[in-house]
Amino acid sequence: MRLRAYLITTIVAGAVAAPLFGIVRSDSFPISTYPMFASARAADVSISHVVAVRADGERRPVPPSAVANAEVIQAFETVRQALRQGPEATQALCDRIAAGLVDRGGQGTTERVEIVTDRFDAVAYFEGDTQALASTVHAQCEVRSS
Amino acid sequence: MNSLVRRLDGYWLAPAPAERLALLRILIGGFALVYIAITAGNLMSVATFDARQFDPVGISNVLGGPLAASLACGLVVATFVAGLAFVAGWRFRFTGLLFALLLLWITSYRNSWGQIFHTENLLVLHILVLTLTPAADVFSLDARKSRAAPVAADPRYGWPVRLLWLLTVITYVITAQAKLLDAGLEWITGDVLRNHVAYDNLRKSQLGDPHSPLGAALVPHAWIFYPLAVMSFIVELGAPVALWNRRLARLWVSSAVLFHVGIFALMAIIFPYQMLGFAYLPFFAVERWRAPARLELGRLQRRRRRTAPQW
Repeated sequence: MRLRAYLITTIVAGAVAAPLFGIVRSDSFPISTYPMFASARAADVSISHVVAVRADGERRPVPPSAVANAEVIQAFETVRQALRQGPEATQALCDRIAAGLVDRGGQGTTERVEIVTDRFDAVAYFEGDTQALASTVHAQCEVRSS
Repeated sequence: MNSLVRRLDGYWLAPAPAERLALLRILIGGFALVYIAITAGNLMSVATFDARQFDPVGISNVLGGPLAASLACGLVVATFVAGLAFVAGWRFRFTGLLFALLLLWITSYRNSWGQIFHTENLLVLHILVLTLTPAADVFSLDARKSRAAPVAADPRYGWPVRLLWLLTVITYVITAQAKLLDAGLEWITGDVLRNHVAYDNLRKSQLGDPHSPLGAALVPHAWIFYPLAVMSFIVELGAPVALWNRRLARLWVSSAVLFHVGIFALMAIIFPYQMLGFAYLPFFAVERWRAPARLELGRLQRRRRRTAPQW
């Protein structure tokens, strides 16, 4: 029993603690470097997201469930991943989201979907300055009525 | 050297009642079951994702590409069923390991689509450890079937609980180390925490998800975030004190739960396993909670009998 106890402890605790000793440097699962909120983040941030543009020009964020699933960060990473993969993947994602809006019957007066990267001062945003400092539209696609 | 080994043995191999480990199996396994049931839709949703998004992590690396949707969904259902056997302690040697591997699989697979959910690591690690231990020697269908005699406190029920403590502590120390390596002391002395809170809430609002109104309201007040950053570091770096004695463990556990409540309040991020306290159950003699619960139940039954209408 003693040998088994120490063997399992050494293997399991050693594997989980590996990032502490620099043996594991990249994040994985379930062994993790827990990098969330560790970076020296500045207030100047870029956020890539999906926007629904209505006929009257009103812009609204497309909810995470229409992009990936109910998890907001999954939706965020889905957009970032498509951007990393290039214009073709970004356009494909845009088309899929637009088609999904029609399927869900939620297109309403939405005219088009855009995949956009907006730059903000995140602190100033919550102090009342909600305007994006810059915007880049990566892909746009029309929402066709069913 | 011998005295060091004796002291290590005295600490690590201290006897514990079989009931403690068994109750941890039931409580942590029960949490995992509820978690799977609540997140099943989410766990299965990745089956519909574009194959280009597949970016395997952990054991999902054995795959060359995504699984067929029906298989991915079927594995979530199978995990739940195996989890029932895990909690019930039915053929635990087999079903326990099966549940742990399936849970590891479905969470790794869900994390293989561009986003690793750090809310699940500790739960999966705890379940993996429990399957390697005699956690079904009592309070289980296996024990009922074998009609074994009452089990005395034994080191074989003690060290697994200590390993659960240790894993919990290590994960917190790694998070503190990650901050020190990435941002250095600026994480405490600068605006890093405030910027993270602002960024996370802004990101949620831009992605059409509810953000924390409290976090948004506090961002303009920079001074609030300095003590919060210090407290975060104290909880994370101070986690090893929980290994020292039960009093310090209780103190640290309370701080850790508050820390997660704070994360939820400021960023609308839920670490359910930690915030609801299940991650910290190994730090407590959970078997002692049964006696007061039984007394209370008896009191309630007596009161009901007294107030029941007489025919």
